[in-house]
Amino acid sequence: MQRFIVTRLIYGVFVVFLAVTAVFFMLRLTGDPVLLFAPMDTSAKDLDEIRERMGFNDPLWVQYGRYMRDALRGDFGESTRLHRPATAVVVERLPATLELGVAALGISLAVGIPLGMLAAVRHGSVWDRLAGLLAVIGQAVPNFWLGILLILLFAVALKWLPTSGRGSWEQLIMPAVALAAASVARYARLTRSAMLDVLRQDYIRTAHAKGLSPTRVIWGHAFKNASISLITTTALEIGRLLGGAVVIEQMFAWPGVGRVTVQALLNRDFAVVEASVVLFAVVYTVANLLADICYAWVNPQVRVS
Amino acid sequence: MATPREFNGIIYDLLTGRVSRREFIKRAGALGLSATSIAAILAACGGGEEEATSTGSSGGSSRGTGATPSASPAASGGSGATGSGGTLDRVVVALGADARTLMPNTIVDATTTWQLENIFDPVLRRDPDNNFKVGPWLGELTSIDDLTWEIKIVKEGIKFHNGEPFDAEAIKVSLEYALDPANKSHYLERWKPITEITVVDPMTVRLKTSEPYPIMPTRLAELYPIPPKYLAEKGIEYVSQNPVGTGPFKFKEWVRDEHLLLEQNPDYWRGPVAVKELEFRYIPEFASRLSALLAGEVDIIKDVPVDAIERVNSSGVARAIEIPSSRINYVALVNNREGSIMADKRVRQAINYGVNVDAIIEGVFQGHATRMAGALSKINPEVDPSIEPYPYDPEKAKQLLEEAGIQPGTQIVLDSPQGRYPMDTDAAQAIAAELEQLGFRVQVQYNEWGTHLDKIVNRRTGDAFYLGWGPALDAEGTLRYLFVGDSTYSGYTNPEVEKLIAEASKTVNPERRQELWNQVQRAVWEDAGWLFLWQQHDIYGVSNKVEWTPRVDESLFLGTVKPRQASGPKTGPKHG
Repeated sequence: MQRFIVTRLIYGVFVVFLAVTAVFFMLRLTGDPVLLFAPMDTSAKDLDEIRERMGFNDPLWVQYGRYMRDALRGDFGESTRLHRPATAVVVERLPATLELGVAALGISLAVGIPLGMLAAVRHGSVWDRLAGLLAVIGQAVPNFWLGILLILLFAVALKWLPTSGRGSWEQLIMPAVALAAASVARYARLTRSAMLDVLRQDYIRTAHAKGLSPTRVIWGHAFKNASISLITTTALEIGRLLGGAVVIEQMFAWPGVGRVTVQALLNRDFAVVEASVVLFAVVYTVANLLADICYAWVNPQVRVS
Repeated sequence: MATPREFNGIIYDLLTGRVSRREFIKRAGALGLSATSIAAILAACGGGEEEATSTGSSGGSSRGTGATPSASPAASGGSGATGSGGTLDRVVVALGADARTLMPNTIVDATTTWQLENIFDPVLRRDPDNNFKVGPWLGELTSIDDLTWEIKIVKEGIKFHNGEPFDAEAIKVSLEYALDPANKSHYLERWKPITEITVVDPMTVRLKTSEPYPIMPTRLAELYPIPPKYLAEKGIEYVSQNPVGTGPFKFKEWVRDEHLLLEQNPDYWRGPVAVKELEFRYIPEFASRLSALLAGEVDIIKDVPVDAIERVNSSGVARAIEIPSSRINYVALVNNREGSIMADKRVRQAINYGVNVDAIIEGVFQGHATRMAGALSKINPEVDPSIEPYPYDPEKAKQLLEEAGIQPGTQIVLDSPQGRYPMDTDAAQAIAAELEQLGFRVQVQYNEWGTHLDKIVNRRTGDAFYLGWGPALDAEGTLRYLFVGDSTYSGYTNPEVEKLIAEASKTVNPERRQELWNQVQRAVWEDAGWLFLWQQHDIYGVSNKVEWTPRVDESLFLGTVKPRQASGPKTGPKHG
């Protein structure tokens, strides 16, 4: 088990290293960052002075060396847009993104799994078809589209919820639902197929035969086994939710990492983009690592291979 | 694969009534949307329309209080100085982005300035009652000789919000702050010609410059004094997050990317304003900002697209208010590149005769833009009013092209930004269509904003590029940066014009300077340096509870907001 964890950790570090490097070079392909923060009446000579001062005139490998050295200490330099340390800009938004992500994951699990169970247990019934339909809609509707719909319906027309922003629990509802929709659908489908697999097994028939109540058979025996595949999905789902948050945060004026990243990208604020991409990479890697470990823990066969 | 822009676009069209429901279903289907979601959207939009007729206030929202007039004048603390109409408890303005810093004199960014100018006062200010010429505000400026300027503070007893007196020292310290390279101020370059700042007495500052610097008044209209003692005690880092100015509003709270909260300054030196509390709320998506206005959560939004005006006006809760902006749009005809067909003056003139600008303003902007005759707009105080627009004359255009030896089918590449200005891509397409009528083959390159700037700066655009410039309220700020060949964003070289510009930039005498600017304007008009286009109109969505007149200089000074008489007639957009 220990060796397994160490191997996974090394993979994780390697993945983060690749992300750190890739984001550096890709950003430098996008163009000159100075033009987007210097006023438009800056002369060519002054523009070049700024480039020189900020080190953009140095050879790329020199810039990369400097960047890696600082990045190892968690320092991505100063945001050109905000004149503040990029790491602080990104890290202070993390709570908002986590809040949104956890709420969305909670909704996905709380709605998706029961929906899938219902569909599996009442296989072929109206419930099954309804759950299937919901799953298709959830996956087919883009989240920003759903977001705008929710705003129009619940904020503008019915006036039940505030249109956007963060601060109260009412403001969390629409962005979390919009973000969770696709995830609910995936959980529902996955739970359904995993449960259908398990329900066909001999030991379920045995459990029924020895007179256990249907509730105990479903939750105690079937779901416990079906849930193994849900663990891996959850790690992937966390990554998807982080990605989706970029759009949802913009739509609902949610002050999270995603929104800061979009703003930084549009302004070629390299330091902030680098810090946030690395943060996303770390969160994603850790989530995967935990999933791998959990998976190995519940299913010993994995450890061997 | 449909992009978010396309999806938002068609929802938008539906909301604003630009497409019928039937057309919407067709287009949504084409973008790969399921029938269920189409039905859901139609239901949601329908609901919105029904709601539009009712004027009920918003319930259920924890923050959506909007602006409510005070119960009685007595409750407002007897602020009789606000004139008739009483006070407003709270006004909420939705902006697309946060302030980058709350330290003035640091970052050149419109959104930042819109917020800071409500906390701080500038030394000089453009006066809407005097043709938007720069006039006195905290100070009054006199030119002593070509290299010396004197600022006199207009009134004794002006105080910063913390009680510190505003005096000549504050002006000096603010300039020194911007001039210190350690502070990385974007204004550093603009103040560079200053060699000496002398405090003559507490009410007087003298500035010496290394060369004649006639643009000084414009520069001082963007200098916002900061309190010297407070800055020395607390340090820049702290002051950047806890601003103290002399302005109509005092700082209360700033949550980055969420909101900035200000409260009325009861001791404002010009008398307290009518708004008790002012909030800037940051909502990046336009559709969400519009929704917040329609839901009554916010009172003022900026940049309403022309196709959403009807939606705002028919909502019953808000109306669109429009003002021709000082921001100008033009197509640069790049005459200074090897092999460019624009090097021939006849081609540039032909384009000005042959493109029906009025028709584009009507067709693309539905009239919400004002045509420019030459390089400066009519509201620029230094415009030469004798210049008339090129008449639309396609025959003359074709004749000029023939004289220049341009074969039908000659290719032009037109670079346009995408999503930077209102309707920019539609406008570029319309211009291209007009050019094709003249016999050109036009390829329009749409660029993301950063790429567009890259291309212009590195001279990699096509023969023509579309650009906006603003706020453009003085001649130098436009002509010197856009008609001098080696200027960063210029595409035009003409030695005669450059000589005139150089002379004007060093001429302090206002009459002589104006005469030189007139000569430059006539020269670039005659030489057809650009395809002269239009001033865009700034369109604001303003709650019916609020009375406010926007300014042409894109300033968002909210000290003039007043409550609106509740039973007043519904007004539509004001045409300029």
